[in-house]
This record gives sequence, structure tokens and C-alpha cells, in this order.
Amino acid sequence: MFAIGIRYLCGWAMATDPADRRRPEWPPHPDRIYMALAAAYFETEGEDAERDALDWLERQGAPAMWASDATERDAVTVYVPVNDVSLPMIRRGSVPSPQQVFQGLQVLPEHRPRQARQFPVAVPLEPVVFLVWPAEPPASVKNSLASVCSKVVRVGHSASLVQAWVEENPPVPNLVPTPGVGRYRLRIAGPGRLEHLAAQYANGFRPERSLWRAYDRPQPSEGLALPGSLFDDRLLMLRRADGRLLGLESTFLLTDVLRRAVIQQCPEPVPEWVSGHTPDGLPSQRPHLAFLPLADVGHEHADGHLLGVALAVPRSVPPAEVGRCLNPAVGFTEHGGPRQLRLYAGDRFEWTLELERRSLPPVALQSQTWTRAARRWATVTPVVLDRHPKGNELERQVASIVTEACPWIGLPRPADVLLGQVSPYRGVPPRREFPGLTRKADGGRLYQTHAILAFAEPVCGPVLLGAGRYRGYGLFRPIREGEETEGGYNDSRAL
Amino acid sequence: MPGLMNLEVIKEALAGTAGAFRCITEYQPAGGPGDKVFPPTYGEGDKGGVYAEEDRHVLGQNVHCVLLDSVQSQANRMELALLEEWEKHDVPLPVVAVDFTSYGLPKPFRISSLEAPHRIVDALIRDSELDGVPFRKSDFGKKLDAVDVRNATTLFGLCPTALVFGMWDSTSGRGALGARIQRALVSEIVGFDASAGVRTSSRIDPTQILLSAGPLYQTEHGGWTLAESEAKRDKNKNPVKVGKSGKPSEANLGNVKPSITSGGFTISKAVQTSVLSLPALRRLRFPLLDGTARPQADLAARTALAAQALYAVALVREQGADLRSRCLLLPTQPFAWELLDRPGEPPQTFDLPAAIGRTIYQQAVAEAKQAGLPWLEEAIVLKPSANLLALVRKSQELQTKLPEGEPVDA
Repeated sequence: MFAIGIRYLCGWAMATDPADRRRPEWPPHPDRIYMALAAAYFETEGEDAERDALDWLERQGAPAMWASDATERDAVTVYVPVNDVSLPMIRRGSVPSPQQVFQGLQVLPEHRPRQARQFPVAVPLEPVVFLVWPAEPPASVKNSLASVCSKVVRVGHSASLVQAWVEENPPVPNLVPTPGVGRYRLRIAGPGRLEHLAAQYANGFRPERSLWRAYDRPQPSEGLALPGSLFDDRLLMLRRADGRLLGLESTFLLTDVLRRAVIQQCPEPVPEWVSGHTPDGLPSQRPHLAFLPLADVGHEHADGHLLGVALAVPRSVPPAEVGRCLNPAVGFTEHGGPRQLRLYAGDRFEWTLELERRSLPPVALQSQTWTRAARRWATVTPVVLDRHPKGNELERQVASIVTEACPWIGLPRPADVLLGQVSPYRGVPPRREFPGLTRKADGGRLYQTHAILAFAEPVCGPVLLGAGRYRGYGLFRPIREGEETEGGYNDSRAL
Repeated sequence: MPGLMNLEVIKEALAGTAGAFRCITEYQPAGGPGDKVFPPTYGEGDKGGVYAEEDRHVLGQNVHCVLLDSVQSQANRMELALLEEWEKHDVPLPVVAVDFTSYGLPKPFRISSLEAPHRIVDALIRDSELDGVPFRKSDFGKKLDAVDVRNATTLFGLCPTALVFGMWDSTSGRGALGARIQRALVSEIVGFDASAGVRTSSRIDPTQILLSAGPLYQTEHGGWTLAESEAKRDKNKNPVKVGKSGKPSEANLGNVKPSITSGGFTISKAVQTSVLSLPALRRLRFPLLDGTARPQADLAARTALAAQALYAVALVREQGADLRSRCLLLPTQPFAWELLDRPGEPPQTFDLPAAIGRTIYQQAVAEAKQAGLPWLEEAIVLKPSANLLALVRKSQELQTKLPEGEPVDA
């Protein structure tokens, strides 16, 4: 194991995001750190042993990282005085014109023209970053890398002063390279990078041709401590980047269009877990990709509008396969920015979705809002029953159907089920306002209801129940203990 | 208990592996805790008047902050502080200045290498003359063409602040590949727990002049008159009004209606963080003219630069931060420096009042000279080019003729 630590001495990092020049880059990309090491080597005319050490490092691949979240300083425009001014030619003896006076005075500092510049700054919660590689370097390489590290002045802009060192006991990484779809896309250094940097510099060009890798939070190494559904609890959050506001009633409209767009971008042949159909065209019996409407609900001013859509992938699909199939639709472009997925439904709506990358997005766009462990769960979209309850004791039958739906997605049966016309979450429309699902056989509408589930022990999400669960209906949200709920339910019932 | 900083501490730090000297100092507004301060604004036009705000995380809490003085602004203040000390107390400092005082201008002034935006490689200095030749073509100036991180000897003697605060010689023959020196010193002031306030503006005119008392006309002598017959005439023989429409307010008379706009912040404290990067100084080499390496001279020069940087930081701290109108901050702590060496180990700390900083700086410069490094003892005074002088003269003459507040017609 080999690790490098970087401490930002001023408490912030000034470096520009290559995909969006108005924003700071955070966490620092491993390639940027490698370039800082290379600069330290070149600018101090380092020894050959240092060059060999950097060669070794560039062959180690993408490092795991530890970095805290960061906030951004407001991106303001700063006006920096230029230096390429000169005096106008004035003929000897002639009186300078006002224009010439104006141009000439620009040489004086108080009249110097200024160029608009931006200096994006990220303020991390912890101003330290670690890069960790699994390989153990030979002693000489390690010593040379320590020497190069001690010569590093900055990572990013010249004011972004750092201290770099070889760390013996790095913390457990919280950001690792992933073959799947990662929330982050970072540039890394690969074999030949040092040579490329030297050649570009010699020719007066900037560095090019970075390698990009997807990164994400690491999967917990032990299995889930708590029971969860058969969907991976790390949802892929897509936020609405553009398009008019839609409410929860538009769930089917949105998820159907999105599903078609994802299938269209998926490399052929589209696997069953993406399309939801067998090769014969029949509906798949196995768990497949589900789409969840991410609505603004539950707080005082909630109105149920959609902030985006989440993709829930069955746990059984390996990450590399997830990456292969979904990256073309929702991953990153070659310039490191997120792909913009455009959805059209005639002239009814036009939306643009992109991967949510902010470290502190709105509550509805945080994965754990929909997946964190809880005993009680309540619907944000109604549960659709796949068979119609008949006869007497309607409520008990419906409750029973809902209860039995839980094992279908890998959850234990709930201890209690409450049904109702409305959801306890403010902003969720009553069940009748949601467009219904029709049975293919006879076109009859399927029964749908809002519900609250109470499990004996906390379970993890996502919780999607009933027919239509792959299209966004039957989506439950965990009720935090002590969270405000309203209307329609008697909380004194033992839940 | 922190010890006092001394020259040996700096020398050992540079000779060893330490990463940086860092000084973090807290301030309060001069008017007392809770008084309002006005940070710098950025942007222009419609998007102007914007503060640089950010959120930080302190002890698990979210704290809203605002930038009170930027890296560039702090660097300017430190250079000015050094220049003032040189003028008052004869502290050693190489100065190259363009002199506008000996030419009978209405407003004489002087601009030095510590005030010009790009320091010694600024366009103003480049085009001014030494012994009849543009500075960069003179004997002194030509030496700057070969300046490099590995060949900083000349720059040390002519403009050491360029080695501390950074320099980019972008308009020399080499263009974008011109000498680039990384800054070694970074300093910034941020206000914590920043809560936005409002600003009122109004004026009550004691003479209670009304709008209807006008219009005012310009006179030939630069004043104003109510009598149309005495007014200056334009080329069509029409009387020229003051300003656009002759309103008394154009001549700074009359009331201004009160208004409230957002402005200023209250803060719980301001924190000034100054960091001196030691690897940045260690990169600098100071060989002889023929290229011979001199490790002793290298260490002496780096020590002198570090001493200058630490002294400059101590100077601005002691002056208090009079950043701009309604933004005067006073330190509430002694100036303690940490020497950041091995991460994980608690840093050594040192106090450095400005007077001690001056002594250390003077000592370090003396030792650098003894080690054979050049040092400009007397300021080099440059003559502005004839064209620039003519333009400045013309501009100042135009300004003195016009009524107050009239912009130069450009």
C-alpha cells in the first residue's frame, strides 16, 4: 500500500473544473496531483531516481481517495490589470488628441485596463486529501516520491498552496474507482503521462489527453447489516437540468419516456435487466431497472413537483455491466461533464436530465432520502394491486395483498399496513388524482391506494411495491422517527 | 509558550524539510464586536456589487463567511507597507521608480516597482528611460531578460518582492513563455458568521435648494451661473447647461431622497491567514553570472526572502487592516507563526512583532550581501518617456479646467 497526503495550507483549493470553468474542481483529480508532482520534479531539475519513481507511479492506475465534501465560494468576476499596454505614437510638436490621452494614460496603474478573470475556490470541510494505491513500491521509489512530494508548492492555481507527503497510515478511502456508473468522473495519470507532459511543455502546449475514470463511494464490505430490497441502495440520481415543472401525476409519462431513452442509448443487444423484456418480447419475471419519481414532498411548502428521476438497479447486476449499459445514457462525456439526457413527449413536455453530482443536493435528490433504514414507510405514489380484491372485508384483503408484495422484492412482511386515500406526506396528490394502470387483458383499471407500512425491524430501501413498481408507482419513502406527518391517519395507532 | 522568531529558525527551516510558515490571526471591527463591515464587491454593471460569500464548516456547524480582502489585495498592501518602511526608516529595499515629480506637473507623483501592477516587469517601467534608453534595454534592465527560477540572482538584487509575490514577464520577447515566478506568500482575510445588512443613503441640503431653482449653466471659468446671458456657448451658440439638464444636483446641491440598498455585513470575527511556502523559496537558485552554483548564497538569499515576507506580514498586521471605507479591523491576538513540518506532529510556534521582524530582515539582507548576492542600495529613478509625460500633462491640465465631476471626454 502506498499513499500520498495533500494538505491545502490556506484551507481552500483554487483549481478550475475542466468541464465547467466557472466552478472549482473538487475533489482534486489524481491527474492534477500527478502533474503537481511532475512540475516539482521538472522545476527543480530532479534526479533520475525521481523520474523513475514518477514512472512507477503512473503505472499504478487509478488510486482510491479520501476527500471530504466541499462548499464553493461564490464565483465572482475579478478584474486583473493587464500588462500589454503601450503608448500611442505622437508626432513631435503636435498636441495629443483626447483619444491619445486616454490610450496613453492606460499605462498608469490607476487607468490600467483590466481583464475579467474568475478564480473558483472550493472550501473543503477537511482541507486534506489522500490518494491510496494498493501496490507497495520498492524502497528507492518510495524515498524518491517522498522527496518529490516535499518539493510540491501548489495544486491548482499559484495561490493554492499545499504541503504534500508520503503517508504511512491513510484513512479508509471514501471514493474509489468503479467500473459502474459513478457519481464522479476524475482524470487519472496513465503510463506515458510524464513523457507526454515533458513533450507538451517543450513545444509550448498545454497538457492534453487525460484518462477519465468513474469514481463513487465504496460499497460496504460486509453485507447489509439490515434487511433491504433486491435493489441496490445506491440509487442513480438524475436531476432535472431543464424543462417545465411536472408533478407526481406525470410519473408514468416521465418514466416511460425515460425508459425508452435509456434503452435507446444502451449498447445492443439490450439486456433483460434494462429493457424489462425477455428476448421473446414478454415481460420479464426477473428484477430489472426501476425508475423512481423524485418529488419535493414532506415539508411545509412542498407541492410535489418533480426534481428528477432515480434509477434503481437490481443488486444482482455486476457494476461493470451497469456501467457498460447505462454510461452511454447517463454517464459522462469525454470532456468530463455529465451527459445531458434529453426527453421528448411530442409537445407535452421536454426535459433534460443529468447525473446529480452536487455534494449537498436538495433532499429529494439525495439517495438516502429514499433508502435510509426505517421501520415505517409511506407512499409517495400509490401502490397498484395486481389483482382486484373481491367481496367483503375489502380493506383487509388489500392490506394482505400489499403485505404479500413485500417478499416479492426481498423485504420481510410488515407487521402492519395502513391504507388510505391520501399519503401522510404533504405535497403528494390523493390516490384518485394519479392516472391508473389498466389491465392488458380487459382494459379494466387496477386498484391503487396510498399506504403506510410498519415493519418489526428497520429495513433499507428503495421500497417499490406492486404492479407499476418499475415505472414509479408504489414508491415508499422512509418516515424518520419524529418526522411530521399530516392528515388522514391516527398516529395513536400502535405502529 | 511560543518562542520569539529569529534568523536561525528561518535558516534551519529552509535548510530542512518544513513545508510552510503559517500565521492565523483574528480581528474585530474597529467599532467593536458586532459592528458592520463592508467587504470588497466584484463584477460590473448589472452584475456588479456582488460580495464573495461562502459557507465553511467549523466544529460541525455550517458558518456563512464573506471574503474581506483577497490574495491579490493583501499582496498589494504588503508591498506598500514595505515601501513605506523604506521611505520612513531606511529599511533595506531595492526600488526602481518612475518619477513624475520633477516636471512641473499640476499633480506630481511617483510609481515604484512595488506599486506597479506587474512589479518590475510592468509596462510602465519597461517603457520608461534610464540614461536615455528604455529601461529593459538598459544595462540593468537587460539582465532581467535572463531571469528564471534557476537564475534569480539579478531579480534578488533588483526586485526581491517579485520572488516573494510572484511575477510573470509576459511582454518580454518570450511572450507567454516569459519568466514566471510562482508566488511564495499567500494571505487572505475572511469574515465569519457573516450576516448581510442594509445600507442607507441620503443627503439633507442645509441650503434647501429646490430642483425648480435651476437650470444651472456652465461659465467659461469652470463655475456655474443662473444667468443664461453669462453662460458658456457651444458651437451652435446655445447655452451649455451643467451636466445633462442643469439640475442643481449635477452641481452637488439639493437633497437626495433617502434610499435603502443591501450593503455590508456583521461578522463575529475576521480571520487573516498568511502562508509562506518554503518549497517555493527552495526552488529558487542564485548562481553567479557564469552559472556557477552557490549553495551558500542560495540559502542566504532564500533566508532573506523569507525574512522579508515574514516582516511584510507582521507590518500589515501591526497597522491593523484598514481595508476600505467602513472596513477597519483590529487584531485581537498576538501574531503567532506555526512552522508546519511533519504532518501529524504539532507544529512549533513563534511570535513575531514587526520590530523584531525588521531586525531579522536587516540581518538577513546583510548576510545575503556578504554571501555575494547583489542588492540595489540606492533607488533607480527612471524618467517617463516624453510621450507619456506629454499625455499625463495634458490629462492633468484638462482635469483642472473642468467643473468638478466632469469626466474626461475620451
